[in-house]
Amino acid sequence: MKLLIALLLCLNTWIAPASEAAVRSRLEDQVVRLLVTKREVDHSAPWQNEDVTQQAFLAVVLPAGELLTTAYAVANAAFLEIQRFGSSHREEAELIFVDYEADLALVRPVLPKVLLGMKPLPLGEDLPLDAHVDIYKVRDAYQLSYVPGTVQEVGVVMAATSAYTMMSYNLKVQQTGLGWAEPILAHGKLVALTTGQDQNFLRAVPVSMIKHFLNDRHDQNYRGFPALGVELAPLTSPDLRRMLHAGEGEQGVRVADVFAGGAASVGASSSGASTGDGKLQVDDVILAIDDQPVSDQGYVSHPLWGKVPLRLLLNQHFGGDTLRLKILRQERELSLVVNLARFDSNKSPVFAYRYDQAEPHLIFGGFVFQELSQDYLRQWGKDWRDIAPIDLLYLFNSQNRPTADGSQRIVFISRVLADPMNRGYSDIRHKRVATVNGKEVTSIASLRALLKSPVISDGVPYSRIKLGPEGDEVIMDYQNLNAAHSRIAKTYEIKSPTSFFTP
Amino acid sequence: MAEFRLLLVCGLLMASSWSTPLWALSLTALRASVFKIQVMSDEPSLIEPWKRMLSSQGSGTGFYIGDGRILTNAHVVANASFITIQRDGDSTPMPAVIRHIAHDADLALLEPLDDAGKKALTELSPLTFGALPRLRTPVSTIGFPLGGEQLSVTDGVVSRVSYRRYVHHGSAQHLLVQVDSAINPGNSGGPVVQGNQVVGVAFQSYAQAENTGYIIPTPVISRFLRDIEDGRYQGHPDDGLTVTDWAILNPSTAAFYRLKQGDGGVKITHVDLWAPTAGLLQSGDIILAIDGQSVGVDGKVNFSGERVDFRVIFDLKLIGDQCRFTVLRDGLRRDVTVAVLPAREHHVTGNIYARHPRYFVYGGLVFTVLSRNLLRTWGDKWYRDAPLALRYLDSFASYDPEYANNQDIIVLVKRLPDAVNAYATGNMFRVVKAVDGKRVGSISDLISALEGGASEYAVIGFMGSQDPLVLSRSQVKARNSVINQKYGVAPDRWLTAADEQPLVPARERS
Repeated sequence: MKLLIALLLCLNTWIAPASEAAVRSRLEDQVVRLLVTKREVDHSAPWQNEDVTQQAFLAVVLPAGELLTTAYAVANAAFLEIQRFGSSHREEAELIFVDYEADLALVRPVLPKVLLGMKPLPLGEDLPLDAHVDIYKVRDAYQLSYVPGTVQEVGVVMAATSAYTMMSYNLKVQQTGLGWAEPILAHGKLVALTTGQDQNFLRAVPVSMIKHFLNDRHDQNYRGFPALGVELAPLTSPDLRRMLHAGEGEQGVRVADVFAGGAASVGASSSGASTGDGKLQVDDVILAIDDQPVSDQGYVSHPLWGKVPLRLLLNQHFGGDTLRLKILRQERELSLVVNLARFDSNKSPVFAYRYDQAEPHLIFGGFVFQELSQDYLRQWGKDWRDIAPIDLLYLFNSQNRPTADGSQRIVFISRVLADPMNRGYSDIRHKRVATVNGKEVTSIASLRALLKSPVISDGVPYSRIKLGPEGDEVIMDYQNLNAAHSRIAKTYEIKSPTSFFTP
Repeated sequence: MAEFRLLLVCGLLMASSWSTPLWALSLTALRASVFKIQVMSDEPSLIEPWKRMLSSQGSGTGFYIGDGRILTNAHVVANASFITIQRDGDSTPMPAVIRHIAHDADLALLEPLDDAGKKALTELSPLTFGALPRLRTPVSTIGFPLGGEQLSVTDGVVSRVSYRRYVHHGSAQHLLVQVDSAINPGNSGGPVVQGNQVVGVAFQSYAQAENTGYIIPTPVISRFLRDIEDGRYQGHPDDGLTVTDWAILNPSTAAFYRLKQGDGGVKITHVDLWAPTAGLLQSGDIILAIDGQSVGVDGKVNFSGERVDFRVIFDLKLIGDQCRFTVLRDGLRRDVTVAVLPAREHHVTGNIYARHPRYFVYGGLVFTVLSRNLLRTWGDKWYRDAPLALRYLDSFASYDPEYANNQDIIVLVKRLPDAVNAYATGNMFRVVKAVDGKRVGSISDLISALEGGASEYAVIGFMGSQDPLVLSRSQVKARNSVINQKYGVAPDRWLTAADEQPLVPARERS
């Protein structure tokens, strides 16, 4: 009897219902494997790359021979290949378009005929909570298999490839190992694309965001996803409400910070009978956004999902859109129209991402200067937010407000390539650079320029490099710099001459 | 991070339970003056600081040094509520009290509580002190380590003389001597002898290395004994200097300062605002000599025949002494005489030993001060688990212009729930920066800002947060006594200096 039950259970798990099998077989003509060869910069030695790795993702067939996948899939890709299900052939592919902020990308085969006989996967609609969906994953190189899931919640999460908070489903699934751009279907249509997984919770970008991306991309100008450029804080405390004259109710969220260069600081016109300069200020209370009342915790009502974070509403807009706000400022209600700007993660001093690009760095007398990036901090592993060097983490947490032009960077000495030239200083590691020759350093480019204006003492050019937070100072002359650089290039096998400072 | 690791692997040598067997001992004369010290203690609670946590018991070693005094480690008797001392071979333990305690130097002096005990001591011959032991000379450690009741003696050799962190304090560094004999829990406070002279007090070990023990050498002990001659302990001075060792080794840097090879010296990178050196020495000065002793590029000077950190010279001064720094500034060599004064009150990275840490409870919100003990409430891995802002200030407060001048780093550690503080939950373990837009740098600042503010709403701003906590002063006033009574908060504030001398516990309680 026990054996029979076991057999039944077993059969049950691998014989799927006939309709599902049909969907799966049709889907094998609508989805391809995307094999990505990745080559990432070695963030601790930015003149070279990490070892090449290979990862497999999925990509969904769209009209006109385009394939949809996540930006994470194509980030740092050196070589792309696609493979159709049931075929052992791998065909070279190329990247057409990517939006790292939104974690979405389009690729296509180099030879269009590769997709002959394949059909675009139709796009569905956003789903209500508790909806059942089918997630399709690769069972082996030749077949798709199916995992059932349920939409558990809808909210905003940081995109895997940027610092943008993006609308996302949280799906309950009974399997791990997902999150590699698997398509999620309901009634045979694409409703989401997976972007990552934490244990039994699978994150996926909803189809409305995919449509946002695709429609935007088909216009001439890609406008991207916007943000308001403010930090919001709950207005739940009755004492805080009374202080801001926000009334007894539960409406209105507090503007806690306004970022330079963001929509809220640039502003637009005020409208209607009200006055105002179209900019938000700290302690403004946002009462409504596009006529939707905003709650004291920053939630708005969504027709399909009920209470959702205000930022989810912003995801539906495009960069350059205007947004109507009703705010409370010093006891007066004002109407504001703000211009939304496309969000750019890299306007914050700590670089959020820099895919497919060389990492700015400079070697001067063996001191390796870099711009602080999240990639650098991530080298400390999954607990990097706890165990990376405290001072660098503190800069990341507290000195990382977006700046007006987004060019401000945090420059630091990551290490010293020991050489007779830097004797006495070779222990320096992970130290931020405060000033060079008395002037503030705001990027590798500015460092390069400042090093070109040394101080002269006894007729000898020197640079004085002040480090934080303790205030150590490095003093180096330029007399033997070229010889030292040749030695260092040879010893440490640094082949790119542009890595080195040249006086 | 290396510094933290050092702390983590150093264990204090206080045994947490009673001991058992022994070895025979030839040092009969010495053993007669060695005591086993047993201690009942209760520690202040860091999160509900008006309370003290229940007793624990431990044991250590001490020895008679004359004048009715027994020397031991501060960590053996810190937070003691009841102390007994028992001489090897005696049947009855005698109650004792702390006469002086030096948490920075991890030393304490005990005396018997009653006259009978005092009389008993007069029959003993005090142990006498020798000089700083030389490298590779043999030493014997006498004490009552775990694993037996009788006195134990272990032999070893002096393997290093250095200037390192004293674990009991948490951040203070002083001269210490490393020996290669096993020093185990319970040895703490015991004499380390050469011949018939004491050359140190056993006090800490290096948990990740076998047979590595540390002893407090005689220069530190004799400094302690001189410090208390006037009846009070003022502590080691703090030079408040951060220096870059080795910078002058660099040929470019040496040439910039017109120094020749072999000139030596270390460069000052930072002078703490509160330090006795502030205003006299400055960032960029090169320290060439201290009290006439040349400082090498490695920051070391000759000291009793060993090469040790130049700071040892300043560290061993008494308050009121002078210290002469020879520095190079603007190309000129000059002598700067620093009066060794107590540092201005300021946040100290380290453990707090006090009846209570400074605190204030306002509207059920518990504000207290940052300390190593507070960080340790996050467990053994506090250096990664404690909130980043607290870890950052633990390391860098004295370099951060916003906090360098603070007497206290104020942390909101607990909410005793009540309607007036219902919305404070998001601010737990944040550092208080300002009240009503005005900076607060101490618990007393905080009290006057909160209680003295004229406006109805008290706005408490936190470090790194744009989300202030707003409290209604009139409601807090109306609820304060109810809250404090409900949660047993008494008193609602404690302002005594963090380094106060502890009360004399046994006397108070017997």
